[in-house]
Amino acid sequence: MTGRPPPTEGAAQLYGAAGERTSLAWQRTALGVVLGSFVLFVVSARLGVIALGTVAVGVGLTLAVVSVMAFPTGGNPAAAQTRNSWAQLMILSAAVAALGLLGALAALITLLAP
Amino acid sequence: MRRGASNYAEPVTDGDFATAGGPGDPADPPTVREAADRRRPRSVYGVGSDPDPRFSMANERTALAWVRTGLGLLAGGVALTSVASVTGLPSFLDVVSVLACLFGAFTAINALLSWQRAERALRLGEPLPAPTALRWLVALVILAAVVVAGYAVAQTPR
Repeated sequence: MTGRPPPTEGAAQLYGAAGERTSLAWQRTALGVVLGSFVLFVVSARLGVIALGTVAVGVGLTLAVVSVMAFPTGGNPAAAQTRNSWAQLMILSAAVAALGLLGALAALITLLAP
Repeated sequence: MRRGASNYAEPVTDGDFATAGGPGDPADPPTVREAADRRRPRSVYGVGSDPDPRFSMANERTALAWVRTGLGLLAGGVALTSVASVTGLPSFLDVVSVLACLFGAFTAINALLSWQRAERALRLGEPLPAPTALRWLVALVILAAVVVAGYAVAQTPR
C-alpha cells in the first residue's frame, strides 16, 4: 500500500471540520500580523521614526494581500493535501520575524535616544 | 508501508490503492507520481508517505500557534516600549522590550523549523520531536514577569 485512499464523501465531511479549523488558524494569524504591523506603525510614529512604521505597514499590507490570495479557505479538504504549506508558513514566519526586528529596533532607538 | 511513495495531486482510481507501487516499482512506470508531487521542501516531502491529513493539519495549527505566540511577545515588547516612552519609565524596560521582540522573531522562525521536523516525523512514522523552544519560552516569560514585578514593587510608595 502506497498511501491513503482519496477522501470519500464521508471522509470529506470528517476532514472538513479540521480543514475549517486550520483555515481559521491561518486567517487569525494573518489578521494578528496585520494588526501588529499597524500597532507598530502607530508606536513608531509616536517615537518619531516614521520610516520604521512605514516598513511595518508595508509588511502587514503585503501579508494581507497574500493571505487573501493564497491562504487556505477550508472549502476543500482534499486541497489540504496538495497545497504548499511550507511556502505559506515561511511567508508568515518571515513577516513576524521582520516585525520582531522592527520592534526591537524601535525599542533600541528609544533606549539610545538622548 | 513503503517509503518514498507519494500519491498526491493525481487522479487515483480505486484499483490504484490496492496495486500501485511507488517510484521504482516496475508496476508503476514513468513516474507521474514523482512529477505530481512538487511540494517543497524535499527534505520533508521527499521522504516517507503521506500521513492522515488531519495530522498534517494539526501540525500546521501547532506551528501557527507558535507564530501567534511570537506575535504576542512582539506585541508585548512594543507595548512596553510605548508605555515606557510615554510615562518616562527607566530605560531597562526598553532592554526587556528589545529582548521580547527578538525572542518573538526567534519564536516565529522556530515555528517553521518545528513544523518541518514534525511533518518529517509524521511522514516517516517516527515519534514527534520534543518542542525545543518551549523551555526557553517559559524561562523568558518567567524572567520578564519577575523583572517587571520587581520593578513594580521597587516603585511602590512606602
